[in-house]
Amino acid sequence: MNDYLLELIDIQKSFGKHSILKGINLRIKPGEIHGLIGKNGAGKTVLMKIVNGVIPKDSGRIIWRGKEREITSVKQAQSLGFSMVYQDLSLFPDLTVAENIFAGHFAQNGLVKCGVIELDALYRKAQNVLDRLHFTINARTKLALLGLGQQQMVEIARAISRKAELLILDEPTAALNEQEVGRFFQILKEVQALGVTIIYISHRIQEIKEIAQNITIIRDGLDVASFPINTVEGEDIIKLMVGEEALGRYPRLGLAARKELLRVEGLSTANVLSDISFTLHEREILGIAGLAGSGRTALVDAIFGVRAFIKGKIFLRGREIKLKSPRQAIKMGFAYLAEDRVHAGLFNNLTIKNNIVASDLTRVTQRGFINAKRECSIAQGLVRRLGILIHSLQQRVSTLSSGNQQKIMLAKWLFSGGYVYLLDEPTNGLDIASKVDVYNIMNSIICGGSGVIMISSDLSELIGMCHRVLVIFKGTIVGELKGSEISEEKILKMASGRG
Amino acid sequence: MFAVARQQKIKELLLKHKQIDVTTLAATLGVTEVTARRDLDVLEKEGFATKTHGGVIINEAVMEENRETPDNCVSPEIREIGESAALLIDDKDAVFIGGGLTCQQIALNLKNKQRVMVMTNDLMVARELTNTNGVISVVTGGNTLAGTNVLLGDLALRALEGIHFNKVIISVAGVSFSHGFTTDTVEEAQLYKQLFSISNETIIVADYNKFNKIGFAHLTDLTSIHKLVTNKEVDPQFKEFFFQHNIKVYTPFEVEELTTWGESAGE
Repeated sequence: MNDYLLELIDIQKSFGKHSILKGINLRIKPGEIHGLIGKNGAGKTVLMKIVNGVIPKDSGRIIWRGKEREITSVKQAQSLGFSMVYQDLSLFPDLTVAENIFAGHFAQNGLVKCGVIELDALYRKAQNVLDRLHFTINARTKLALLGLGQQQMVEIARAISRKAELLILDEPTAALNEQEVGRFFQILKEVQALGVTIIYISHRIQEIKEIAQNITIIRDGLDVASFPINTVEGEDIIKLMVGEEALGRYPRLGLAARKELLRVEGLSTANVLSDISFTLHEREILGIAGLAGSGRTALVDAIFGVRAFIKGKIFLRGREIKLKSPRQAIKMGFAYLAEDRVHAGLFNNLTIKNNIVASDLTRVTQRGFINAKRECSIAQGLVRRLGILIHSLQQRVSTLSSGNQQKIMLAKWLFSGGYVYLLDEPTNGLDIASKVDVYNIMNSIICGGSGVIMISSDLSELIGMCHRVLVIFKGTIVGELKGSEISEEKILKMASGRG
Repeated sequence: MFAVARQQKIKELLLKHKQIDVTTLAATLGVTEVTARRDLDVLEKEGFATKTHGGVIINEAVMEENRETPDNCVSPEIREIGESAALLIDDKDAVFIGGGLTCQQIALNLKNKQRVMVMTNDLMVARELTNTNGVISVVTGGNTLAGTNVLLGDLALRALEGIHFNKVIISVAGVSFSHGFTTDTVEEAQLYKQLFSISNETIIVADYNKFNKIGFAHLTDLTSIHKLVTNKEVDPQFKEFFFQHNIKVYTPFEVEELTTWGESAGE
């Protein structure tokens, strides 16, 4: 019983009608690095947020050092010695490294005198922490000047400075390159040597095998297996992660692909992509699978003219095109639904109609002014055709549900009249009915002779909707799967570099 | 959209609504009112319609001429379903297409198929398919259901003996959480139940008006079908339910016309 530092027993959690955790058990031994592995949406992050006091559990028990605890806030979790490093870092880019490390804890560390922070002491103390971890970072550096890998180190230093006994890392290597990952693992081992226990969340089997001593596999809100890492093969882990999949639900259309629409030859960018070649046909949905950080978004960025490439050619309908900007790409018939709706896709503070016509203002402009009547009639037509539920066209898009926001994004691109659609995580964060709508809008798009490239972390969706799937790993295409060959097992194997 | 296509669209709208005002027309077509008026000039010259103050009215004679074509009384929602469901039929399929307006719309969209075998219990479906080269059609036989072109009863049932289909596509009278799929008559339910047992795949077509309605006879449970073709207007609860029960839901969206708008940009 007392063998475990942390025990989670039958943890359950639902959001509305959706049961996310259906009774998870997890046992962590003191001093170990424990891998928590599962597909996107399996429930890993939710589970760890519960442990860290970010969200409350519905039922179940949390036992820390043999004593049952109710964790109701992050502060409480911190006082117990928990510290969580999230996927998206939560640092202040304009502050120095030292300020970031002690942010929120200046007083506890005796750094405040007469209401003023003692900078010298602050830097000295921060540098101590960094040195103890053998990090070669100057505590006086402004955070924004550091690379992502180093920022990650700052996060860890912050956790250590708070005397964390349990460090929870959520997909820490997602944004790191190979060298950085190597260095990062070195650091983790040093942190472990200080006596800190680590829970390492990832869906990268290779990394887990390298760093963890024990693993627990989570699938659909349940812990399906738990064992010492050296007793299990990567292959078996994949099988356990995938389980039986329900693919019958995706409304794929079996259209005969026709002429070549887009051809990419030997595309390489400065540091992410190398030698990417593929074709997209009319009436085809081409899937791109790959782990976060594999270069899948960089690829569509490059095609859309957002990211420059140093080598390679792009052909549209057999003619070579040279795109220098997204504006040119839109003119040529490209439409890019960015993953980040809020920041990259929509003007949150503008109205629905403003957003819809934003992709091509020239079509609603007369003598230098926007023709309001025309803008309205176009927006009205699109809102009706896509079945978008709104009160008025004057509504700000920030007031819409994510499903309706996504449809506004699609409306915007339909308005610009593109025929090569680049969709990055088009159903991420959407409710089920909106997902079904997005799938059917994709179908309608290809029925009209256009082609769709879809990036998705939801493998069942990729398999269910796509006619072909390209698997990308570390910036190169490592495999192409067609028709009945497409399976989660194959994709996962290739995507983790084992194809 | 090119002017010619736009004028055709206006004609269709006029046949349906008889009259229309310029503002609505411009909004529907996504063009300026000036362009819409120019199109109306052309239609007036052709003798199709007469311009009025702020709008246009179809000429009586034209209305008479077009009364015959059955297309005019079919709503766009049903037409869309017909087009989409036809996409689910592959070359070389053996398909049963049931009776009713929606199924007739499917038959209209099989022109490009190759070597498809269609059996039907709807005389209008059969009639439509006689002009379709790639399709061999077979009619079940049976008693006609009063006021329709649908064949049912013992003879229809007997026609199903010893055959097998890849797909059966039928329309229903009601779809509801409490009563599942329902039809208007017991005879329809009887025939279609028999069909389900001799087919690999069950496809139901039902426009959004059929949802939350209950017909006279129980056909089957909501979860026992494979694909559903309906309209985007359908209650999200149904979309979610079918998705979670592994049933593919197809709802067409009008996007194709939009992409052709680009061509009218220079007007």
